[in-house]
Amino acid sequence: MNSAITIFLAGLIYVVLYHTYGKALQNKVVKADPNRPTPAHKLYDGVDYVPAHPLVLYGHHFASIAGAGPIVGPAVAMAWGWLPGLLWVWFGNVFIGAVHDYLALMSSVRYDGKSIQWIAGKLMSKRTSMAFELYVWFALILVIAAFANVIAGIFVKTPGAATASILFLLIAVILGWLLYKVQIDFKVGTIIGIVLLALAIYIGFKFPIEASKQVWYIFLGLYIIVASSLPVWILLQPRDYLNAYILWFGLALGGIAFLVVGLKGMGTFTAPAYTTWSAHVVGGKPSPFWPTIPLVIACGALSGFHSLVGSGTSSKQLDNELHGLLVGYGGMFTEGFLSTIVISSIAVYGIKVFQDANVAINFQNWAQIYAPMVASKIGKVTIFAKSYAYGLHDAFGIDVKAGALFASLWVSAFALTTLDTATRLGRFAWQEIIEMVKGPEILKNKWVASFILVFLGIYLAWIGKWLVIWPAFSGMNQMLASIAMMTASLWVAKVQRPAGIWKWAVLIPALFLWVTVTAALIWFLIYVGKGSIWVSIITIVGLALNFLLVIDWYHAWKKPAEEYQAATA
Amino acid sequence: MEPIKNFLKGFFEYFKQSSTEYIEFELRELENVFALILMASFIGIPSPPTTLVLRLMPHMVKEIKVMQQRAIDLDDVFAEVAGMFDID
Repeated sequence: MNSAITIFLAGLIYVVLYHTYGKALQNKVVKADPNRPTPAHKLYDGVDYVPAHPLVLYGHHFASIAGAGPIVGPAVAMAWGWLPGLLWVWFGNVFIGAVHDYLALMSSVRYDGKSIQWIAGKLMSKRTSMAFELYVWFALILVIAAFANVIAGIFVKTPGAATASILFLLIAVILGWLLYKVQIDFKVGTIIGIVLLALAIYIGFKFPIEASKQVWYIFLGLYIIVASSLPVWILLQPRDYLNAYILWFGLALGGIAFLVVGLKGMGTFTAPAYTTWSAHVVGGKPSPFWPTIPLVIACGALSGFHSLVGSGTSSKQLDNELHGLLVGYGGMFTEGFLSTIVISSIAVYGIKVFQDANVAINFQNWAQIYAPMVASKIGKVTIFAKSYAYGLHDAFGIDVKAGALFASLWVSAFALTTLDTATRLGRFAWQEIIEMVKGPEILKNKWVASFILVFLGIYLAWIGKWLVIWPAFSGMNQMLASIAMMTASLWVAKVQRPAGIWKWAVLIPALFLWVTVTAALIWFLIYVGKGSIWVSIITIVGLALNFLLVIDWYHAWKKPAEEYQAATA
Repeated sequence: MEPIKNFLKGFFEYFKQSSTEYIEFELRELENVFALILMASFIGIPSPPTTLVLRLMPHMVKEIKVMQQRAIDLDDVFAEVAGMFDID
């Protein structure tokens, strides 16, 4: 197999299914009507509710759902071989992920841009929406653990990225100071920021900071406590802005590089297509492809956090109901495309990266050693970063070390943003919970609230093995997807009432997803989770909420459709 | 060329928007608190004096709008926070 062929095939699948299955969903299930005013028009306020050009919104939506997820997941799933991962990315993307994103967006459009959890509360019960809040706090601990682990791993494996990332933070502070205190021109500020960014990569290249993973954990813990408490204009705001340039540059460069590599005839896959259905993936244990695959590959195939984006900001900016297909359905396809590039790059250069690390890997031992080695010796981001760098080298002759450094900075920049946003949000959620239970005042203090959350998250990262935390975090994420899909299935069956078998186009993926995620979490608890009591506790809480949800869903499902008429916004 | 330009525009705009979202969120919260204090007599707290509040009213159009919006969105506050998620 050649990387150009997989990229071409992915494009073909996505284009054909977009015009067949996607269009059918739009016409038969959602019954999109170009004449029905969208919330952007009905509730126009010039701030949140603003109609946007469909392509602008599509770029907007894609940028917000793309991050570290579609890179890390497929990289780990390569343990099963490139074919199972690729098939899941394509299948999961088309029939579950894209349907999930599209329906979250469109149901929110029909309910005045309200969030999917609000709709869940409306269609099922108030309890469902309350459970969401509790669930998110627990999920955030895992987010901190998982992402601290990713970043510390990158810093250890690519010390140059540590220097560049720390300098990137300083650059963001400088940019914030220039824009808000000195009040220089916005464009001049942007140019200064980008030049400094290039300089940071160069300095990182020359002066790598080497430290152990534990040292980086402590650094990251202190950093997120401070960053999440600082006024936003100092760090978060300018950094988020600069991130756009890194992501866009990385995506465009990588996309073109792997097409060029394939066309030059250098993109032949060296990794095995298929190893076994139970490779050692999760926690170093033999992991059955089903049901654990959605725990490993999240974003590229399906991800619950997308429903928060779709029903959070995108639904408030949709100009016309017909644009929803491009934004919700098409946006997810674009992310699947990104994952296809990741899988192709590792399939081409993965073995070379293993050879660089002096690990003898072949078709026979691939299933046993790939994932554990990636987790312990090579680094889960490094495997992608180096493959990516080799691609850039073969396509454009860019230095491999510089390419790997850039790719590492790219992923760590995103993970860093996630890390302190998660801390900030977790602090809000914690303060609300304390408020609800009338806990002591001291616990509401922002430093105390941040410390508790960060301590738990970093502690998990410190003691837990990467391969245990990532699926636990993913499991919570996929449960969110399952909640969103169940909500969407109720909305479709009871409110939309499509003709013929179209109700099943949503119900079957929703039930399949629920059963898969539940089975995967139970499997995880029994075989892997026992290694860490905290991960087990969080997973049990998630599972309990999952069952609560299905009970609420069942009661709602039994109610006659007529009762739902009133719920239509 | 036009579609690519539009896609890129949206792509960059997202980052600009997400970077300003935090500031806007803080600002809205502060404005809401400020308006609540200033208009406290409407909710039964006689401070500042009602006559003063009435004289300030014409200058408080934006703040009142913010308060109204907060009241409307109260059943979905969590969505506002969740909207800031940028996990993947």
